[in-house]
Amino acid sequence: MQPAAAEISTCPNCCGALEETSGGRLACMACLLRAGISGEDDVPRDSGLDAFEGDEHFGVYQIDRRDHESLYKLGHGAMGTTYRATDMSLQRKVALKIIRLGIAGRSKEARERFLREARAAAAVRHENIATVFQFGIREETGQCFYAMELIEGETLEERVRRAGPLDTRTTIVIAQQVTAALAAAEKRGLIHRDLKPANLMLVDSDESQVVGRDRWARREWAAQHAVPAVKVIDFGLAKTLHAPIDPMRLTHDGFLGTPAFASPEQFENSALDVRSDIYSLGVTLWFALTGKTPFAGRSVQEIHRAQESNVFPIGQLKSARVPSRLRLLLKSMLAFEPATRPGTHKLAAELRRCAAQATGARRTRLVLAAVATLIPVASASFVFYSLRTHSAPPSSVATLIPVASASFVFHSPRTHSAPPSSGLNPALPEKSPAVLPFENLSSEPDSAFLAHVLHDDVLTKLANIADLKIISRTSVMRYSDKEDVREDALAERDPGAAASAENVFGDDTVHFNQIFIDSVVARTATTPAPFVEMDQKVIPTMKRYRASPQIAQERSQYKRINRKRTLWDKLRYGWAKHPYRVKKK
Amino acid sequence: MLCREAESRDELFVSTRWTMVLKAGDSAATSVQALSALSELCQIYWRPLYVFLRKKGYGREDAQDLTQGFFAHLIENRRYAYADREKGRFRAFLLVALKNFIADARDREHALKRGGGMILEKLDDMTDARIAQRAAKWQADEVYDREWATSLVRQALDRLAQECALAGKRELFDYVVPYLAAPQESAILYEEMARRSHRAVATLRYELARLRRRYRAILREEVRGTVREAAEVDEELRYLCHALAAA
Repeated sequence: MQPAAAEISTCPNCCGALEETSGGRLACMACLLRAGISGEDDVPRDSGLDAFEGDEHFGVYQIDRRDHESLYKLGHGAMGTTYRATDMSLQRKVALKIIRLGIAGRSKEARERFLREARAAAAVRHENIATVFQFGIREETGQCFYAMELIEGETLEERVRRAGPLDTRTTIVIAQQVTAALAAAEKRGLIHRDLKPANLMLVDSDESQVVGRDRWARREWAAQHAVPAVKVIDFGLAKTLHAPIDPMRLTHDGFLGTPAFASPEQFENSALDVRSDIYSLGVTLWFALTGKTPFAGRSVQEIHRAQESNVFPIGQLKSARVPSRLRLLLKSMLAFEPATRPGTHKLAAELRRCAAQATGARRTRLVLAAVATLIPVASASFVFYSLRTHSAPPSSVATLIPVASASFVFHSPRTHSAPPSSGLNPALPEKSPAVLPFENLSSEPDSAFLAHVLHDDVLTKLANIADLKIISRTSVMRYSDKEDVREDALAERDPGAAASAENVFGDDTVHFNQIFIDSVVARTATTPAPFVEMDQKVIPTMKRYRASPQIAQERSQYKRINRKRTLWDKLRYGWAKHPYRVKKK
Repeated sequence: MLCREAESRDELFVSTRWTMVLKAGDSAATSVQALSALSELCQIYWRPLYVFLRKKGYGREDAQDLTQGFFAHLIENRRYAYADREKGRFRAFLLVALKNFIADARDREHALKRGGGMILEKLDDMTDARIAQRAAKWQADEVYDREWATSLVRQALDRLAQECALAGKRELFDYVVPYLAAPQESAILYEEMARRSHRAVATLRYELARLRRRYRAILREEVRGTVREAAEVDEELRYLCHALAAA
């Protein structure tokens, strides 16, 4: 072929002359030569090309790309890389895991066994197990992949490393969900083999999902969704990949799995069952509570020796204020002999008992926190009642009945220190609450009896709370009408609490006073409504309700009354040394 | 070329070069085999030597004859045996050997009777005017080095093209070859390439990255066959880059 006259053109990179290459195309010889030098590697390679060969299509799934054209990588692990992908047929987002190992070149029987085991793992359906949609092999490259539901959240490991160890209650709830997942898989003869914090996805609740401003619905929803939902990922994958046909080599001296969370029998390559996963769950819970693993070591052998010693660093759990029952349960889960560990059913039962114990202890702490915050607010005349009557004329019902002021005083401080704050639970004062007598601030002497009724009601409800010691009525009676005492008590105001009181007035309705403080919603009302409801959501805002013009006027009077009390001023304008000077109307 | 794995083929190719030289000089080999080996050797290294001779002032035909005769002299007299790999690079050896060769006018007539017309056909492909224009401002040695560098790149590209052809992707190779040395991702016009090649952008991304890596490996292998040890590959590449840049 007679070549055409070489076109004189320059390289856009080095401005060198282009020359004709094979095929008649022009290229820059200098740049092509420079491309061969070590360290001067060319274009930054696409990050995803390291994970798999070929294009980004795996069956009906196409890996998504970010705005800057790189592959949408969700995570990377020993077994493979996870990407966000789109199911082109159903147009839904999935998590696509490209497994590092390819099975090209294996025997037909090995490939079929691999697929059979993988499909068995994918067949497990449970609310706490990430659903696997498809498990496949790309024939042209021999790479394995599986698509599972896309979970928007973070792993337990990421949560602990980001926000610190979890509290007991959250950890127990997570354990209960994982236990349920293990039980469901056990029914199908499936075990995880690589249970660890990185394989537990946490999906936080989203309060915005509550539609409307229904206070009650929001509270109920918040109570149910206070702890995150757990999804176990990579269930059964380790078993299929650990099959003899494909001995997966990891970085820990060839150990299959994650040594820090592996059971002793995994170290010894013994037969495994669900108790192996329970052991791993125990280590995972230990990590969630303390941020550490019970058996540390710089090598696989060191970790296994630590396991054999059966010596647990219980001090870590005690420092984390883990209740004794849960500590004992963790010890049983981490028993060296699998036979001595609890099964899934027993584990679930024990976790329920631990949850009950943890809830009772938490209620005690919450009430103490609530009481500590109620002091500044309760001193004001913020408790109003209106009785629901049908026969009485409206005028008598609509009368403002400022009944009393209630004060909660901390008395007889305890000797032991408050538990450390975990970010979810505020620092709790160790005090015994005392309910001061109520005052009748209304102009109707016939309403004076309500002060005693309210006082008895508050005392009765608080007394029903376990582990809460209320100062006796006789002891507190001496504090009635003692403004000084209230001021002293107010000095211990919890700066972290945001307390407010609202009063609702109306006709023919039951009014109640609702106080939103840290993690507690305290509501006072006439019977049969409970006095205190423990809410688990931090609601630091003030709730206001509409009121009729008459009520608004009365409320302004109420506010004026409140302002006369320095406590309210301190709430609004800070905890100044000098009382706030009330502006006279 | 036989169809075989790229790795084994590359290894075979490296040994084949020296093997070719040895075979060409094997007195026991048949004349056909000797001529075949000679032809392959000339096809790889003739251009730098030819350009050097042209720069030296020899005409086209004389330069062709001298180049051809030089290779024949190299093989017949086993001059390749003097290419001591422990003392220098093959590039430098060839140049020195050629200089010695042209100093002996007795080989000139002998070269006309050997080698056939295989090289002549190749020489017709060259654009002498362009070469003469560029060689005007350089020294003969510089011209030789530059052409040596260019020959290496062409050889690497030819091998890559052969691999793509064996894989049924020769057409794809033609589309991506201008971007094998693109320094930035943004300089690669994937969309245009996709439009012309009727392939997906994602496929082109992957293929280009794979071909870039493969080209680099082939180029380094070609250079490896001309230096004493692997550690000298980068140094040789930088030397040749400097030679091209000076041009």
